[in-house]
Amino acid sequence: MKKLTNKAVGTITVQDVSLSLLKANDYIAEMIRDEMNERNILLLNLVSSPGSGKTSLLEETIKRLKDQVNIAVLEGDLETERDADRIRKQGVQALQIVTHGTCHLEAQMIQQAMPNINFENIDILFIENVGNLVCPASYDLGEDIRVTLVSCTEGDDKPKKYPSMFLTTDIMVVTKEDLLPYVPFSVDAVIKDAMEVNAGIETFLVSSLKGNGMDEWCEWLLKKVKEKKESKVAASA
Amino acid sequence: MHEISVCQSILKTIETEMDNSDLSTVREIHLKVGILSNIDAELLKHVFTFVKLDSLFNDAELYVEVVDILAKCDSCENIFTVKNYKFVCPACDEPVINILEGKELLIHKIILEEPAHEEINQ
Repeated sequence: MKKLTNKAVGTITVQDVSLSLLKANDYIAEMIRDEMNERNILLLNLVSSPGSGKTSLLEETIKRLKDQVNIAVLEGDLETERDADRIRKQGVQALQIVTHGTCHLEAQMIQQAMPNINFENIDILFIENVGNLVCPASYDLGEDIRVTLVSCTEGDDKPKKYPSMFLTTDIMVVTKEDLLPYVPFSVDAVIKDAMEVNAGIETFLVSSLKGNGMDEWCEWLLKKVKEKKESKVAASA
Repeated sequence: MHEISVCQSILKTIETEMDNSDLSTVREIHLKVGILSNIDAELLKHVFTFVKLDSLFNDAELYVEVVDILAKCDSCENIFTVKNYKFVCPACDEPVINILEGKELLIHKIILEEPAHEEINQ
C-alpha cells in the first residue's frame, strides 16, 4: 500500500500558548525570595564585568561591617575557589559555585548551594555573580537588590552598551574612584546614561583600595538591613 | 548570549507541557523574543537546526518574532516604542519605567500536524 505523507493529508492544529522559557528559573527565584524573607536576610546580587572589583568591594565591606552585621557570601565563577578563599580570609562564611563554563548564575544553582550555608543570625547574603554584563541580567536569583559595578577603567559607556543589565539594576556602584585622575571617565556621563536607561537607579562612587565612599555605601547597606527587618515586623503585626 | 541552552529550554518546556504522544507531531514552534532578552533571533534559528536533530522535534521549524521595546509613560499615558535604549517619553520628556513589551522570551504558538487517518489504521 502506498504510504501517504503527513503533509498532504494531516490535520493542522494550532495551539496558542504562553510558555516563558525562563519560567523554571523565575519559579525557583521566588522560592529563594520567600525563604530569605522568612529568614529575614537581605539578599544582594552583585554583577559586573570581570575585574570591576566585586570581590574587593566585598572584602572591604566585610572588614567594615563584620562587627555590626553577620554576612555570608556565595561566589560564582567559571572555575577556581579563589574568590571564596579571599572572602573566607575576612572571617565570614563563603561558598564557591563553580559553573564550569556557564556564563551566569541561575536560581537553581543558588537553591542547591543554600543547604550548605548556616543561615543562623545571618543578616546579609551577597551573591557575587559571574563577571559578565550580558547574561546575568536575565536571571532573577531571588535578590532584594541588584547591584551593578562599573569601574572607571572600563569606561563610562557601559550603561548604553549593556542596557538590559542597567534596566534590571537598582544600584550602580562606580568603583576604582582613586583612578579617576588618570583615566578619561566622566562620572556625570555614566550617571546620565544610566538614568536614561533606568531612571530609578541610585549611584555610589567608591574606592575599595583607598576607602573613599565606603562609609556611604556601608551606611546604606545597614539602612537596608534595618528596613528589611522592619518590613518583616510590619508584615507580621 | 547562550542560544544553545535557550534552544534546549524550548524543547524541554514543550516536552513538559505537552502530551508525549503529540511531541513528534510538532511542525512549527513560534517564539516571541523581546529585544531586552538579549537573544539573537538568527543565531537561535541556526542553533535550533542542530539541537532538534537529537530530539523528538526533528520535523519542527522554529519561527522567531522579534518584539520591540514598548513603554508607557506614567505621567502623560503616552505609549511609544523605545529607540536606542532611551527610556524617556518623547511627548513629555519624563523618564519611564513602565515597560509593556520587549522583555519576553516566550513560546506563543505551537502548530501540530496529526497523522492522516489512513496511516493510523495501517
